Parts: sequence; C-alpha cells; structure tokens
Amino acid sequence: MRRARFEGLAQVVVEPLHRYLLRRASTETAEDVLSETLLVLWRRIDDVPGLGDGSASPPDPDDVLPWCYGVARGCLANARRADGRRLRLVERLIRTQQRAPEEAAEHGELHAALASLGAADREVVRLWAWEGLAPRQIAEATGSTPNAVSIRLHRAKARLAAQLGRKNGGRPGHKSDEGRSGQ
Amino acid sequence: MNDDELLARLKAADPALTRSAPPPDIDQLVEATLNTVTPTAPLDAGAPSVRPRRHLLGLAAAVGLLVLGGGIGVGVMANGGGGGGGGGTANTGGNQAKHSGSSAVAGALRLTAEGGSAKCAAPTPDSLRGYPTVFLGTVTSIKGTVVTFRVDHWLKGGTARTVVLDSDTSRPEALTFIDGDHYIVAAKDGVVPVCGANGVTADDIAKFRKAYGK
Repeated sequence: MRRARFEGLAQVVVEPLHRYLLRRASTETAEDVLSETLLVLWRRIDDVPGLGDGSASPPDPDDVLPWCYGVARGCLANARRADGRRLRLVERLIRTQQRAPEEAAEHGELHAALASLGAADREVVRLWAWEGLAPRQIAEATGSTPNAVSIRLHRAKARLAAQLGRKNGGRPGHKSDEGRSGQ
Repeated sequence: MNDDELLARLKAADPALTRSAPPPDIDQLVEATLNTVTPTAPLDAGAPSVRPRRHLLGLAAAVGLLVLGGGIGVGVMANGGGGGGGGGTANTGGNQAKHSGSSAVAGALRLTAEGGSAKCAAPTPDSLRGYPTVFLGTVTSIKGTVVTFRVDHWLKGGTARTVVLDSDTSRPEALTFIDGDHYIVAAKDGVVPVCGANGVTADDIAKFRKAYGK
C-alpha cells in the first residue's frame, strides 16, 4: 500500500534529509524544502529505488537515501530559483550573522576553503564528508557516474587539503595540525 | 593533511551539528504531505508539479516572446507594441501563419518562455486589465519544454485556436504545467510577463468570462 510504504520511507529519510538541508540552507528554508521534498517522494513513491513493494520492513537507508538526497537537492535548487536573488541575499545575510560567532571563529577557514571550490566539487565533498556517502551513492544523488564522482572527489579533496594546508602554513601560531602537512 | 584528517575537520564543521535547529516532527510531516496531495490516481512519475500553488511559480517563469505562426515575430510584436485593444493582432498572425511552413501547429500562437520565477498573487480581472492579449486555455500536450494550449475562450486580442508555449530555458523544471489543466495567460507587447500565466479553476473561468463579457 502506497501510504504504508511512504510512512516507512519517511521514518528512515526525514531526519537525514533535514540535516542535508540544514547544511545547505537557512533553518526556515530547510523546513520549507523538506515539506516540498516529501511531497515529491510521496508522488514518486513507486520510483524510489531500493524501496520494496512490501511494507513489511523499513527500507535500508543506504539504498533509499542517495536517491532521496537527489530529490531534496532538486527541490532546494527550485526553491532558490523561486525565491530569487533578493531572498538569497537576505538569507546570506542572516546566515552570516548566525554563523559569525561560533563558526567564523572555529571553522571559518574550512568554510572558506569549501566556498573556494566549484559548486559541483563542493557538493561532492559535502556528500562524502557530511552525508557519509560512497562515490556510487554520490553519483546517484547528483545524477553522475561513480567513476566521474571518484575523480572529482579525489581532486576536490586534494584542493581542499592544499587550501587548508596553505592557510595553516601562513599562520604559524594558529591552532591546527602541527606543521605544514601539504600533501 | 591526509584523507582522515580532512574528513575529521569537515565533520567537526558540519553545520547540521553546529546549528541548533529543532528536529523535524516526522509524523506531522507525513500527515501534512498526505493531506496536501489527494491520492486519487497515481500521478505521472515525471509530473513536475504537486499542488496548484506551485503552478504559479512555474507559470510565472513565462517571460516570453509572443510569436505568431513562426518566423513573423517582428511584425507581430510591432503590432502588439501599441498596447491597445489589439483585436486584430492575433487575427493577422493567424492568417499569416497559413503561409508559414515552419510552424508545428498551423495557425497556432507561439510563445517562447525564458527562465526566472517568482511567487505570484492569484490573477483577477483587474490585474489583467492592462494586457492586450488574454485567453483561457487548456493544456493539451506537453512535449519536453513545449506546452500546447487549446484556447477555450479569447478574452482579448486574438482568434488562434491553439497556443504553443516553447520554453527554451535550460531549466525546464521551472515550467510546471499539467496536461488537461486550465490556465489563464496574458501577454503584452509580445511578452508574457512574470505572473502572466496562472492555473484557474472553473469558478475563476466563470469570473473572468463574466468580467470580460465573453
């Protein structure tokens, strides 16, 4: 039954999807887009890979999540377009304000390094580090091939490490991994 | 810095951990989802829209060129440029279209939509008063980015029976028309403005027809 399958899926994916969105948007946007994502999942419940037709057991998150991340990703992109530049600016301002106290101090460097990557590289790195996906799953979430993801991820990680290494080297007194590790 | 160190640093900076957002209420979200979408018939897997309100977002994307028949856009746009009654505009175009072999649907009014979207207020007879070209139509086909309307009623400025809206945007998902649904579309100076096209209900249709005396 569609309803039972959807409920089973929601139990498994809602929290990871919420985190996915929180990592990429303001709290308000994350909530809006989460609702939107669930609507799409309900509508496309028959297309969710890895979701068996029985409602017997809850689906395996590893099977269903990558595809659901892909849906959330699309919904977020839609919301961004819909809100337009003005709202994006507002959101950016809010976000900078929110992040200023703790993140800028503690993880500012890392976020700056992430921001220096291209959008596709950044998304691959985030999916790897924060969502904990394997290249095969990242490929499913981003509509790419595992091979292309592996290559992209490898390069993006190297770039990120270099960026962070350079910064650390430039500021000797800064709390960091000791010395310049470079590569 | 090796992979593990990089991963550790990234994880420490995970915004989902450092931000204090309340966890989502799964049951409430499920409930809201099931209440929003009426589960009558299984919808098309690829159907780009979910609820009526979303249509407005997509339709608002129609900032487009109004071209009659194909290849005669300039003349028509110059015609429509007056912004007046425009009663003869589409008429002329319809005749010209007969000579145009390039058009997929002979005599069809062609609209080209570009990207961009916004949230729109529901249209009213007053809000569309300023447009020389207004019609009520039903989507008869959606092929890729090309949406074909059957014109149910011309409210202003046209006679073509078919309108083809071609979205040449690289973001086709911005256009969320649904086959068989009814829309009101307004254009001015050859352009369907942002919020110039909206989904309508039977009540809306009656209201508009009354207001325009059609």
